[in-house]
Amino acid sequence: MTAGEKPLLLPLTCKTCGQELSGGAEAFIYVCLGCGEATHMSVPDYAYRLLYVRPSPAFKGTAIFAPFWRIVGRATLTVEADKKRSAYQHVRPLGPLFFAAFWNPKAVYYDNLTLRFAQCPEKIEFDKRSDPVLAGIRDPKVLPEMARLTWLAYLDRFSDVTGVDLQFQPERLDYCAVPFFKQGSFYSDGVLGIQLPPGFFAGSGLKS
Amino acid sequence: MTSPRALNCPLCGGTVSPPLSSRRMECRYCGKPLFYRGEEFLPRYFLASKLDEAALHQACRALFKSHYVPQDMARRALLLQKRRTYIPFYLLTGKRGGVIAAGRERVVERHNPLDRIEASLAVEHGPMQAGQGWRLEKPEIVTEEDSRVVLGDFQYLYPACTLENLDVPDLDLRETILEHLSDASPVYLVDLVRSGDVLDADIPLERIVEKGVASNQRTGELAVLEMQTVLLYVPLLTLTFRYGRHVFSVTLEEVGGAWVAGHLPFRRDLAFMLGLGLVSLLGFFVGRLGNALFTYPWLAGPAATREMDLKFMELLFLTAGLVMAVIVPAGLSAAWALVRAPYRVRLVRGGPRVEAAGPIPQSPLAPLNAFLKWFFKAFFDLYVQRESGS
Repeated sequence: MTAGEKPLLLPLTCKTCGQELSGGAEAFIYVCLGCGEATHMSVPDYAYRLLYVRPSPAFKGTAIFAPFWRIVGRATLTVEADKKRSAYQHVRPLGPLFFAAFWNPKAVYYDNLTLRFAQCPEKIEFDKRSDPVLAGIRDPKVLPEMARLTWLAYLDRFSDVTGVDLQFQPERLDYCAVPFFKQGSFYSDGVLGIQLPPGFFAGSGLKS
Repeated sequence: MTSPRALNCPLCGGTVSPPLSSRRMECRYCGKPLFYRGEEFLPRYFLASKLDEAALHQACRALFKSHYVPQDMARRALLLQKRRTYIPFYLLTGKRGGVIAAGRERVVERHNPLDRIEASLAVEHGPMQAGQGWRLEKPEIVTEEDSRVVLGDFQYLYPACTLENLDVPDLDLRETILEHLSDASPVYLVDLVRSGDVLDADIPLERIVEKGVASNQRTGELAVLEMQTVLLYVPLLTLTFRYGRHVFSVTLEEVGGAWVAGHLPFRRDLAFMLGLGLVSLLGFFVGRLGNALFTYPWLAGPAATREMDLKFMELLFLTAGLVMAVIVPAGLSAAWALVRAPYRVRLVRGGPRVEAAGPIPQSPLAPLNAFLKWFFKAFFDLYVQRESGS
C-alpha cells in the first residue's frame, strides 16, 4: 500500500471507547452501541449520531430496530409564477426525512414510510437504548438529492412543478433505529403503525 | 479488477488472506474483527430450497406419471446421484430519479361571443342548417407544460455465469427468482459450499451494468442515484436416475419447485401403439375404398350404363390410386418413424415435450415408396398421353 492509497482493512472497533462495532455480515454501516455512533465504512473516520426512535406505547412485544438515515435540511423554493406561489403557500412543510439504510430488493416499500414520517414529525421521539440494529448499507452521499426529489414530488401533489426550482440544503444527518413490531403475519412500524407488505425485511434474514 | 493476494491487519500487522464470503472477518493473529472494503467485493444472498424430502419425492412421482414416460418409471427408476448447484445472479437494485418535462394535452373549446346569439336563435327558429354561413369552431388540443417528479426503484436481474452449458432456461428462472425475492437471505459462501456446488460468477459486473442498467436509462432526465449490487444464489437440484439401460438426469429449481431441464426416456409402447393405430386406420381406409369401388351398383346395371360409367370408373380408380400412393406410404413411414425414431422427453417449463434425440433411421419402405412413386407417375403420364392422343 502506498501513502496515498486507502487501507483495505479497517479495524471494527470504536475509535472512542474501543468496543467492538456491531453490524451484520453484509453491513457497510457499523454501530457502536456503547457510544451511540454509526460509521459508514466508505468514510471510516466520521461517525454519525445513532438515535433510537421511541416505540409508541400502543405496541407490545419485542421491537426489531431497522436502520434509517434521518436527514434534516432546509428546502428553498423559487417559484416564478404567482399562481403557483399561492398554491404552495399553504403546503405544510415536511419534517425530517427518513430513508431506509438497509438493503431491500423492493425499495419502493419504504417510500410510503418516508413521506408519512415526514408529515408528522411531532410523533417521532427518541429514546436512549442500545438494542441491536439490522445491517445497514446505504451510502448517505445520495441522500440530499433524494430529499430534494422527495420534496419536489410532495409539492407536485399541490401544483405542477414546472418552473419551480427547489434547493435542499442538508443541515443534519443521523443514523436512526426505527422500531418495527410483528403483528400476526406482518410487520408494522412502531410509531404510526403502518402495516408493511411481506418482504419488507427481505435481505436482513428476518422473515415477514 | 484484481483482488490483493494478502493483506495486513491494521492492528497487529499480521498477514491475512482477502475474505471470500463476507466483508467482516477476523485477524487470525490478534482475533480482532476487521472490515474489508475492497470494491470488487459483493454481498451474497441466497434463496433457500423450499423442498423437503417429502416434497421432492412427490415432485419426482408427479414427473414420472407423465403420459410420455414409461408407466413403470416410478417403480423401476433408481436414483444414482443427487447434486445441488447454486447458480449466481447479479441483482441490481437502486433508486433512479429526476424531473421529467412532459407535455400535457388538453382539449380547449373556444367560446365565440356569437355562440350565445346562435343559441338563442336556435331556440326561436330551430337549429341552423349546414351551409347557412354560421361558423362552428372546432375544439382545439393545447399542449401545456407539465413536469413529473420521479423517484423510483429499478431492479435488474442477470445471470452472473453462462447458463447455456447447463441447458437451463434463463428467462423462466429469472421469473421464478423475482417472484421469490422476498425470501432472499444473506449467506456466507462457506455455508453454501457445504450444501452444494457453487458456480463462479464469471460474467464481469461491468458488462452487466453497461448493457443492463446504463442502456435502459432514459436519456438525460432520470439519473441513477444509487445502486446496490448483490450476488444472489439460486439452488438447482440435479437428479440422476437409471431406468433399464437408460441413465438420465433431470434438474429441479428448488425455489418454485419446477422442473427446468433434463431428459427422460420416451415411452416406446406409446409410439408402437400410435404406429399400430395409424397402420390399422390406413388398412381400414383402403379396404373401405376398395369395397366401395368394386361393389358399386353401376357394375350390375345395363350394358349401356356400364359403358357410360366405365370412363368415370377409370377416372375414379386413377384418383383413388393416386391418393393411396401418397397416403399409404406416408402413413406407413410415419408409423415406422414412430416406432423406430430415438425419441426422448425433454423437460421445459411448460411440462414435458417429446423430441427426437437423433436422426430418424430410413424406413425399409423407402424403396417401395420410390417404386410406387415411379409407378404412379408413369401410369399418370401414360394416361395423360392416351387421353391427349384420343
